[in-house]
Amino acid sequence: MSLPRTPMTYAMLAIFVVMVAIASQWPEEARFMPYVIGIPAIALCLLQLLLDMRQARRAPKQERTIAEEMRAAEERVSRMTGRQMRFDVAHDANLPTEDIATTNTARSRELATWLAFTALLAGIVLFGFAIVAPLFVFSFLRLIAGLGWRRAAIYAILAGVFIHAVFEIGLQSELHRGLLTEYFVSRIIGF
Amino acid sequence: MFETMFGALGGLLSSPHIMGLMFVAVLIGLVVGVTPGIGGRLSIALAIPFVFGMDKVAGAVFLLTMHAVNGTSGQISSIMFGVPGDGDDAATTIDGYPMAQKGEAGRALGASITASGVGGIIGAFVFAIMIPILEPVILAFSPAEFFLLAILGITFIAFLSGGGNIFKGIILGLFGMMLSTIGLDPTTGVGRYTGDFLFLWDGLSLVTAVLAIFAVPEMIALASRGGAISKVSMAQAKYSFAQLFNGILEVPRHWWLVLRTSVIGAVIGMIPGLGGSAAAWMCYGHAVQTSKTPERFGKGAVEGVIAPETASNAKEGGSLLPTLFFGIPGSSGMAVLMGAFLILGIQPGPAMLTDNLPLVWTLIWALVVGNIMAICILFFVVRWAAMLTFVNGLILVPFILTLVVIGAYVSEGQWQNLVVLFVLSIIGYGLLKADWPRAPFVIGLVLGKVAEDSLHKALDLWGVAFFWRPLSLVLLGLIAITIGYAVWREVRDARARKAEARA
Repeated sequence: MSLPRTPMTYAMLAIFVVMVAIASQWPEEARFMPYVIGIPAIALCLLQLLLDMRQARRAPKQERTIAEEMRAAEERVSRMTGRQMRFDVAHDANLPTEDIATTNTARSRELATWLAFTALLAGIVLFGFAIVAPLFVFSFLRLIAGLGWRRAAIYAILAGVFIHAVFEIGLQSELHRGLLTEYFVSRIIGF
Repeated sequence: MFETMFGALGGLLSSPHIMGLMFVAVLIGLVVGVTPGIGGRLSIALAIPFVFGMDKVAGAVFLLTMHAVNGTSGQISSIMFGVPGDGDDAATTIDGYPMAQKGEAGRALGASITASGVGGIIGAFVFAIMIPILEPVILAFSPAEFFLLAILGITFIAFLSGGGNIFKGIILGLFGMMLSTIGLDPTTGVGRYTGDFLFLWDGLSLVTAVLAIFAVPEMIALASRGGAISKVSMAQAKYSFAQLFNGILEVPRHWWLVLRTSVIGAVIGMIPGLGGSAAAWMCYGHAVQTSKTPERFGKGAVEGVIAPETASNAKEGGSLLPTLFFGIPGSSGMAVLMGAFLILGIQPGPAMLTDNLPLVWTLIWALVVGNIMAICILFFVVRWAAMLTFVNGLILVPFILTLVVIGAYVSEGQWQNLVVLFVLSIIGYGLLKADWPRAPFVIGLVLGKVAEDSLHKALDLWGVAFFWRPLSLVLLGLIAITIGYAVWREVRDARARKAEARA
């Protein structure tokens, strides 16, 4: 028997099992709702695992092209109206397509974006929005999007000005200054 | 009734502040609609930080207007370049793109923009007409029914967004509900899943969760694949204003079709989960069926542009009904909108009819006025708006990710929310990669607290016998039928695939 192919189902099962287990330590009234939700969810995850196993034996579904999507639409409208439809657009060989990156490029961009996002969050927690947000915009545009230095710098400055003007001045929101920034500022003022 | 209705219109039109906000919302909504990679629900989630501090009417009008006009500009790339912005616009491509190829892009755009706007306005009126009709039904709902409605809402969305697998959608709906239990238990005061973290005592930030599950995964996917549309030329976008005007006149020429498809669209919008794609296809089919010359369809018939556009925008008015009065969002976009309403202090439910009717009428008029504004603006800028289709998605990513992080922080002013954002983003990206439907998660998260509150009240009032109340039985029956039909459909498709493979 093939193993289930969906790690997401395992992940969801694990999440529900842990949440129900944690809830079991609370008083009856507090754990009632987590049980009402969690126990059926665990049962559904197990059912989904069974379905995954069945699906693993079948051939994987192929991604449809735009032309195939349009042909499917032809069939759909034909069924709906009871007459054979033929759309010109379905047979247009020159339909524009998205500039989908090759698998390798897509993977490296995916990894780079995750790293950039993680760095953005960690940077903001430690150094605050004012420093990290423009730096992130600049680095992303320069290193991942491949923009020139000047354009990337202009966009980064504009982003910084926009954040300050809209959120701090316009909406009066106090943005996080960063744990390390605050520490250093307090040390300097303290001296 | 009439006093409230026209009082709300007067209040809206006489407030320069709200009208100004609406103008900005229309501009943002139109830009977002035509820009690749940013959907309607994402734009609402991103706009939430901007409405903190606004009064509830201004904030709600701003967000609803932005959401309502999203679809009006979405069809531009479908018609000019044959690239549907999203599922709602696919039906428009079938006749819109051949029209553009025949040199009638202006006529197709004029017809589609006007049809979309008029559809939005008629949809709002259909919603308004339904209020007095449905009032007794809405007020008859008790806590027992509200708990079951929450489950039914998740089941509907799971069925329609699950792509053949309802269980994945229900699991995620339950996951959303489970996360909504985080925080202090309202009856015992026990901290549920809070650990030692004080910031979780008030519960998980809805804005953070929505941004993590929808916005971050979409942006990472957009960055991975690039996203610039190539192989098309702006030469295709050439047309005269006379052509555009001729297109506008096509709508009054086909007024009967416009009226019928608007009503169908609005009614479909009232059914949670059916959405604009179903409305657009159903009305396209209706236009073919009722045409005296159906052979023109698929080759550039203007009715093939008018019908889906009218329907997909009319459904916005319809989907406000379950969202506002039952607290059951009609679509994932409405779920995010409902979450934003909760943040603004608007509690959807039957009380909207009794305590907040002026706000309901203001929202209805906002749909009408917003659509009129969108039509007027688009006629002048449509040619330039098409240029946005060429924006490289990679360039948008850092700006949107920064806005996402600001949104997650500003919602509660807690840096710890950024850690929650990161953890949930990993789950969200996993769901996107594994092709699990994410809309039921938002609905579960939004409805979780209402469902828990209703369940406790129902059990206190009737015990487990609340399941045997007539309205409860109807709702239970609907849940069972939906799940049963989904399973039957999956089994039937599997058999068909097997037979095809054998042949």
